[in-house]
Amino acid sequence: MHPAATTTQEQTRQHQSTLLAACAQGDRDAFRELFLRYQDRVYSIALHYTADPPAAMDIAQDVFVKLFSSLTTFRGDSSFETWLFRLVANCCHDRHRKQWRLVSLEDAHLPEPMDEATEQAERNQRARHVQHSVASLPEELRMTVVLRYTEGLSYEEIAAVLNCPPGTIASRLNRAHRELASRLEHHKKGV
Amino acid sequence: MPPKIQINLASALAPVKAPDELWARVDAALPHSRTSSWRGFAMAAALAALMSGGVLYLRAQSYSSSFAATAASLHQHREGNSGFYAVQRHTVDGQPVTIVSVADDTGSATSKLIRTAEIDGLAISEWTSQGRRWAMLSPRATHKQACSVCHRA
Repeated sequence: MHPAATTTQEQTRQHQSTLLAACAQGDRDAFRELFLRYQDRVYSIALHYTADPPAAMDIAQDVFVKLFSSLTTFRGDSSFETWLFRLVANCCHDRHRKQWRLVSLEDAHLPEPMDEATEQAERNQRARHVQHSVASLPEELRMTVVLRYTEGLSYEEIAAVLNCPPGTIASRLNRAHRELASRLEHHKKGV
Repeated sequence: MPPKIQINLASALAPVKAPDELWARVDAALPHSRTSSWRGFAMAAALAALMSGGVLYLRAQSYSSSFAATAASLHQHREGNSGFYAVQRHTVDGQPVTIVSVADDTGSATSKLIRTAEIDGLAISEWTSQGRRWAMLSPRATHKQACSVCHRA
């Protein structure tokens, strides 16, 4: 690796370490910076897990509030991102567990295409159908798929977040792919 | 895995931008230590006092601030068929604040943002979740804007 790249990575690590230390001491400006850095990633995971923007907002809010109060417990045993994604996964799981009435996929608040060219509208429709299909997967498969495709995590990284062996992740993805292929194929025939 | 599915997944599950109002919600729910600039506790206590029937919940929590709220006026407006919105004027730490509360239960199962307003320097958003109405407060708002509910009266 180029020495300059190593230096930049080290500076980034040091800055993050300083930022996390400041957050752990209750520095709200530091926390705001941390929030801005991760808000899109946290929200994206929550959104693709639920396919429901208001639910994703609830989850993202819970994640950052818990993050603020629990940063003092972060020991650096794993990377901060692994730790953060574990928190997101736990908040998604909590919501899934507590939800007393599920929102039907037909009622999910994904944007409808308005006055778009047919091709774009079809692309959007396909994307929505994939999102709905993912959001209706069993929970353990769903989070695995979202971390894989929204965050682009490796099997090992997903395993670290979900605290299970990489082989389990490979198995879950395989099951999810087969399940999705079946559902999407069924949809295609239906259309 | 079929390549087509892989491409669809990567595209359909691509990262998206978080809504702008996310920070306001997080900010309102964080424990606050800057007692001179935060009046969340006062708002929480005042809103709690308005929880007649237990239909209003406050998401924000763990605020710390001196609190000396005095109700100056109270009026209500009917919003279509959805019930009453109560607008209460208070004085908190010597400054006027307005509290908007909702006096009904929609029974909605999903979270939906109903409205946001910035009143007396405090951003207030109302939304439904789990069949209840919630009020979200963001004391960091800087500009003042009259209450849209009051303007309709």
